Amino acid sequence: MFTPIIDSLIIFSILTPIIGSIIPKEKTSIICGLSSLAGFITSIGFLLSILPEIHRSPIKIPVNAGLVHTSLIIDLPGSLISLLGLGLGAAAVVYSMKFMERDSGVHLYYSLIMAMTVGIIGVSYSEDLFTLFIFWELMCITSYVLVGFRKEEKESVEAAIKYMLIGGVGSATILFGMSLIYGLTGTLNLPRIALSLRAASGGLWLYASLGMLITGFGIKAAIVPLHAWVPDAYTAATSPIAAIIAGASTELAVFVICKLLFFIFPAIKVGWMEFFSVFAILNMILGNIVGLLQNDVKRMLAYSSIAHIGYIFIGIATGTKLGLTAALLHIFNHGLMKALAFLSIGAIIYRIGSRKLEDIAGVGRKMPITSTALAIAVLGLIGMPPLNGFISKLIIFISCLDSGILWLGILLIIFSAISTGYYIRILRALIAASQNKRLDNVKEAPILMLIPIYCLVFLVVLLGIWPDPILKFAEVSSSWLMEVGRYV
Amino acid sequence: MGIEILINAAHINFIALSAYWTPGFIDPLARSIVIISIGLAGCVGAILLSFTVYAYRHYGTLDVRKMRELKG
Repeated sequence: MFTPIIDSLIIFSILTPIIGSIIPKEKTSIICGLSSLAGFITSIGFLLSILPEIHRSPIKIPVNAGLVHTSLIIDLPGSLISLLGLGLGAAAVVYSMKFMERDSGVHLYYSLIMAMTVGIIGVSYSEDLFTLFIFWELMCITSYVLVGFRKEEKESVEAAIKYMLIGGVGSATILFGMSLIYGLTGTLNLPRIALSLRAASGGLWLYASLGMLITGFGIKAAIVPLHAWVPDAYTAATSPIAAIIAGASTELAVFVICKLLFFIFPAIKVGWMEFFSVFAILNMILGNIVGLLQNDVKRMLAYSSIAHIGYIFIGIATGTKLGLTAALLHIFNHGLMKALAFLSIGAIIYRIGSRKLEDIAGVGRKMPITSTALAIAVLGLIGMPPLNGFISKLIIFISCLDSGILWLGILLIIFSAISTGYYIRILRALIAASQNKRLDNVKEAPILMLIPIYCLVFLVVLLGIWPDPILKFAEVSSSWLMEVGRYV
Repeated sequence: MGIEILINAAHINFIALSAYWTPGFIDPLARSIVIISIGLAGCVGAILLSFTVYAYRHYGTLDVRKMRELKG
């Protein structure tokens, strides 16, 4: 139908609930998990196998569809994000086999995870604004349901309602922005929009539509005035879902903003720097300062996510190729680190049943393996040298130096230092002596949870020691995004 | 249901702009977009309503100001 990458996921996402309804109830979680994992592995395998081919030239699907150009284009920048989405989806599926064992309707849960991943891949590959919108809605609707999946819990229903109200307004804003673009250019195909906007000068309507698109995608990307849903949704969602939303879907929204700006709005390049540096500074201030006040580990990680979006925006604000490379690299690295943090804190919550910082104090002595993983994730988020967070922050700083906005780079370092304040609190809670009765008979996390956690640890450490492959990937991707001419 | 109204505003804009480019010819792209988008809006509405039912069961009210379990 589309491409084997998406098709295999769609087929397995239909198959999984059917398998789940015929097998005995106590085995549903494992068997449905394996079936959806098969879908993910097929998809990842196919994507990796065509990677050398799309390195030379992107594949267009369908080649020419007549009047209605709804099409996907498999290119390198999209592959970076869809690899992230697929990897995190597969990790979340393996993790959920144990984590969601006691919930009802698990077969639908796996189906929804796969549909959400289809949405993420579709958005990152779409070459057409309306295709982008359809896949975007697929991702949004499934993520609303997944956030409120434990419907018997008060807080998850509340978070889902807040998330849906804000996200629904965002989707409507995106659609309105698209209709304005359609009115300006008469087409929704991205390269054609780029060509026709290059000829015309940007009028007032162009700015209006750009503003609407950025607002709409910015709601998902947690730009600061629009961030209100982030802490609630991340806290109330189950940990694997929080890992996918924080690691892939938020990053995807930032990537879409990048793509729209570098791709279809080269006409109004002036004023980006000021615009994005304002948002970057707001994000860093709010994320890091409010993060310091939290007592709930998942909320802390949510605010740290907001702060990291600010770091990514610094890379975009520089407007150079190096800056975009740094932003894409940080999108990928932050996705891995944040997913690792959410998965390992989820394993701790699974054993202890609380996410308060004082309740998990001393857990490091009872669950050393999980706690090591959480410590690595937190050190990576701080930006410690041997881990991948350091590499991308360093490149963001170098890109600031290169384009002459040193003050923004200095702000990055200052806010990184401030953020260490709350990361250190998590680390201290891990190694503190246990004073809590609740911890007495806590065991190590189950092996099915440790497998995806340690796969992510391996990637975080590996990409920190040997960042060359992903750096080259991000560099080629950013040069693709900068040159629209290659797509036409 | 304010979200539905917001989405419908965008639909009307699409339809209005489809007749704008070439006089006497209406672009079928906008029509197809609006029809698909109405379906999507229906999905969002259905899920929003079902979560509203769950929220009513938990809180006994539909007042969003009373939903204050999560804050900080």
